[in-house]
Amino acid sequence: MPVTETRREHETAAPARARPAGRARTTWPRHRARAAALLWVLPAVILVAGVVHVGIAYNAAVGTTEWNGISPTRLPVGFDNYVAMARDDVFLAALRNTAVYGVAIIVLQLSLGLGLAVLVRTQTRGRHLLRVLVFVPVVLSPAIIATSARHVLDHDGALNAALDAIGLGSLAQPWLANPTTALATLVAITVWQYTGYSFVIYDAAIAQVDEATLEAAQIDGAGNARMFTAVILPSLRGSHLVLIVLTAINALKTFDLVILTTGGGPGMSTEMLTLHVYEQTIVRFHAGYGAALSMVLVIIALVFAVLQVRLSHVRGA
Amino acid sequence: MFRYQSIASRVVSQVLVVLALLVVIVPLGLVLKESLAGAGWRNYTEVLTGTPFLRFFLNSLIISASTVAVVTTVAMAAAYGLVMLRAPFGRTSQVAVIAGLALPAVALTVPLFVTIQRLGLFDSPLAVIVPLCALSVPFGLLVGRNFLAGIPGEIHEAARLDGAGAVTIFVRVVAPLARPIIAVIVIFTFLAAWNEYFLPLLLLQDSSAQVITQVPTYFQSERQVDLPKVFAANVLISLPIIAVYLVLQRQIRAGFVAGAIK
Repeated sequence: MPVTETRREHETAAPARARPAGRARTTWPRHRARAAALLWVLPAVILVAGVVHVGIAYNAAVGTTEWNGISPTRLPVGFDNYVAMARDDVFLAALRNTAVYGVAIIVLQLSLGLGLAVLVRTQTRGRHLLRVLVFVPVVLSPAIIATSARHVLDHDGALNAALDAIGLGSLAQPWLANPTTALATLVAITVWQYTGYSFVIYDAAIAQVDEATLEAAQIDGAGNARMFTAVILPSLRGSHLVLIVLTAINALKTFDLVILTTGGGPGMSTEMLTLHVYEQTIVRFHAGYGAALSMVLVIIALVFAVLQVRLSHVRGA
Repeated sequence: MFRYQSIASRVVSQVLVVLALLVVIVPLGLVLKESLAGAGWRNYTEVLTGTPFLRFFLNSLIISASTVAVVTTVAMAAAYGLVMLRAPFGRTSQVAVIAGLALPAVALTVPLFVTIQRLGLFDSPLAVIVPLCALSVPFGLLVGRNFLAGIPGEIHEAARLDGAGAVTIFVRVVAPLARPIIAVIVIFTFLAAWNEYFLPLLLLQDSSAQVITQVPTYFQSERQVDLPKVFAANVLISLPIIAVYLVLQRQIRAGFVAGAIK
């Protein structure tokens, strides 16, 4: 666990401090110093507890009521909101879509990112430019990419015009307005934007592979494919795990892209958990139900947070 | 690494590199082309002068700069208190803060909306800054803590034996040593704040208070969708970020790597 690690380091440092304790001027009384140390931590705790913890507790409380978010009275309904979820088709579609979207972007971003990281190690022209440019979309705002994509992918948008121009006009369609292609199109936009992220992680991991090991493998007659599977791939396990967790968190958080392109439609084909919370609370004034839905997001986010901390510790140690 | 490739695989690699470059560049080029449709460069001057674009830009700058300042200070101070000063209740505080690591802002829709309404803080930058900070501090503390745990305790002890107080040590010793991780926190927090769309959507409704990510929706509501101007605005919004990235690209990519695995 992270804390025991810290403790251990300080335990070894402790004797160094204990010895010169005779000089009162340079040594702080232990309990006063530790109480003062609390002041350094408090702002972070107050900020996060005040917004996140109080907010979650408020969700939990409001989630057991029927409330429009404005009226002074809330009707206690126990766990009815949670029972209602099981019968809420939009919620179930949102759950399914979020999962499908998450798995799809994990698989595609990781495999394409790894592919590109290998590609920039070949002796090709343009590989340095690729390394720089592939990361550009990562720093852009999803809200901006969404509004641009919405128009580019429209039925009379630039993509269909381009398809027409190269004789593939039969493929042209309203990509985001067709229920069979909408979710896949959102996956494609996300993968276009964030593959650069998994690319830099893999690129950095491959850079860590020992040059001597590679040379030894080469001298032993290993071909490129063998070098990749026997030397490089085994060293990437940590990177896969970190990227899986971070990409899953991104999938859970996705909101801007969806609300600014499809709004969850057509039908329920691109409905997401975040979108459903927003819609129920703000658009339909079902604050009680919205709060209960939020608790589902909270629980999934907590599981991911635990995984991310575990991984960061394993890698950082 | 792959220095020896057969001719065939060299050709395939080259084709794939060109293809990848096209996939990245063509959509960006399309947006640029669309932004020049109709009135050409006049689309840009009209966005800059005929709309509250600069106001939105300034609002984004205020919100992002405040968030970065607060998150960096608060997270590094907490990391210092936990790791080097061994604050009491350290484990509890740390778990409490880091629990918020993966929480989407949307999960706080109900409490945020109700609180901001009761406090009458709609359209105030504070309404967005405070939740943004709260949601960014967990990441800052996680990476800051892991970084400080890797600094030998002797450095801190030596400064203390020289008679330096906790504040002096934090500013003069710890902050300079922690510069790489402070850069990571600044980059992550700035991009998160600058690109944030949901909190402004929920809490900033007046067009004098809105931020840069709301520009495209502003265009769609104010005028009957003036597409070239939407695209021109999107280019104007993206250019400063792309420029900063191209200048600092090595550091930014290294920062993202450190942010993921530290």
